[in-house]
Amino acid sequence: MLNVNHFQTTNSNNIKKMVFASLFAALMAVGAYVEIPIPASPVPITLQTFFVLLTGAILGARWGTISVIVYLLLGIAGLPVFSGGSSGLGMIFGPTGGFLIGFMFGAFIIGYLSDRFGTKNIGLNIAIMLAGLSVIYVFGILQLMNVADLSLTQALVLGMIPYLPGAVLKLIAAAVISSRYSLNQE
Amino acid sequence: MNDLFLSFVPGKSFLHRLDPRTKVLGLMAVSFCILKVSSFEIMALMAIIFAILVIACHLPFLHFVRSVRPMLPFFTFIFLMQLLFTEGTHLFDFGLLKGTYEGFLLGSILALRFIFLILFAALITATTSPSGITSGIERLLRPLPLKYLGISSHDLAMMMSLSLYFVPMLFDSFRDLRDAQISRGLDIRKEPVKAIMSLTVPLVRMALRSVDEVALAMESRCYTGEGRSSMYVLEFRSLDYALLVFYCVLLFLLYI
Repeated sequence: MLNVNHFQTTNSNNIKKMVFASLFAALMAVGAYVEIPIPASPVPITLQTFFVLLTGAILGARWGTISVIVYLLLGIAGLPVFSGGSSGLGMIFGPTGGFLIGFMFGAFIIGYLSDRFGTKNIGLNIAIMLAGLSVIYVFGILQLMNVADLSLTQALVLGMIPYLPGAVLKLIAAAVISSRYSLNQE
Repeated sequence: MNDLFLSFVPGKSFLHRLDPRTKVLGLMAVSFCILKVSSFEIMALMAIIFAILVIACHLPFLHFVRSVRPMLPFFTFIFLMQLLFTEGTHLFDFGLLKGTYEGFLLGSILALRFIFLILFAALITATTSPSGITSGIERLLRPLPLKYLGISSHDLAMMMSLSLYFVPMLFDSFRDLRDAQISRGLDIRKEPVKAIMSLTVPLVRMALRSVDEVALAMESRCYTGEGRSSMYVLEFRSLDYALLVFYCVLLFLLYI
């Protein structure tokens, strides 16, 4: 599906990946607004993490990380792209900022492992994305504990457990989609 | 899509006229200060400084209320956790729920800290246009060793503008698609799975096509990431230099 190339020159692959990375940054920004209520969870799931998982797997380590960096820069520049329509450098230093920093490393880990092992196998994808997701949560929970002065259990109750059912759904969806489409193996 | 850019309030005050780089660096300095604050007196000082800046720049206070609102439930949770689970003198006691005085102090300091972090960030974005911040960030990122990532700071700024173009485009095509599918008899409430499939597949297709078009347009204009000139040339004035020195002194005093 992604192989529809109307043109091919020396530099075009790079420019195309750059535009793709921008598209994914835009999708992350839009995804923060899409709220899907699910029965087994008190908080609605947003598609933000879903696109972070997907960008690593589809674009690979380098462009996946850059895509998340562009998304964070958009937020720093004051556009309401972080969850719930918030923005600004204050969010990065604030209690939930660890998750935002974690997105960057999560996308890198997922991208690196996907580059290494390929993304054709759904089971392998799930394992890779679990690794990436846990990196995101480690950063998020550590900053939450540190900045908001909470104990580990409190931070887990506030920042991780309510989101877990949604995270599992997103992870499976992202794993299935990235097994079908990839820009890397072209 | 106008509400995406509502965070910028045009004006001619001194904060509007400062260099974007000074403002971004200043925001970082202020953020470090706020994270160090642990007494109500300094919090009150912060509030006064903030109010003076807002009034001096003729900004509406309501604007800042709106910027804090999305995060308020989360801050309330953090406050309650500190209030209920900190050891100390009892303030009230409802069987299982015990509030302590120390917890109240700690919780309110933390919540105020986070609210001020967001307020000062909102102050900067209210007085700087998105393109101004983009070029400021671009200039600040230039000395970083980004070339090991295979990208220049111009590329990053370019990608930020591209994303700014894609967000409204995605919203618009989504609205068009939804109208088109509804007029063909799609009932979103009755068949949610079918609705998701019949909306996302064409949306992804449209997005991919516009990626191709943008890439072709950039390619045919010989895009390169290095040595680009800009429409807005940033320049430091004496006030900017004075403020930079002030930040350095402030941070030096704070961490000594």
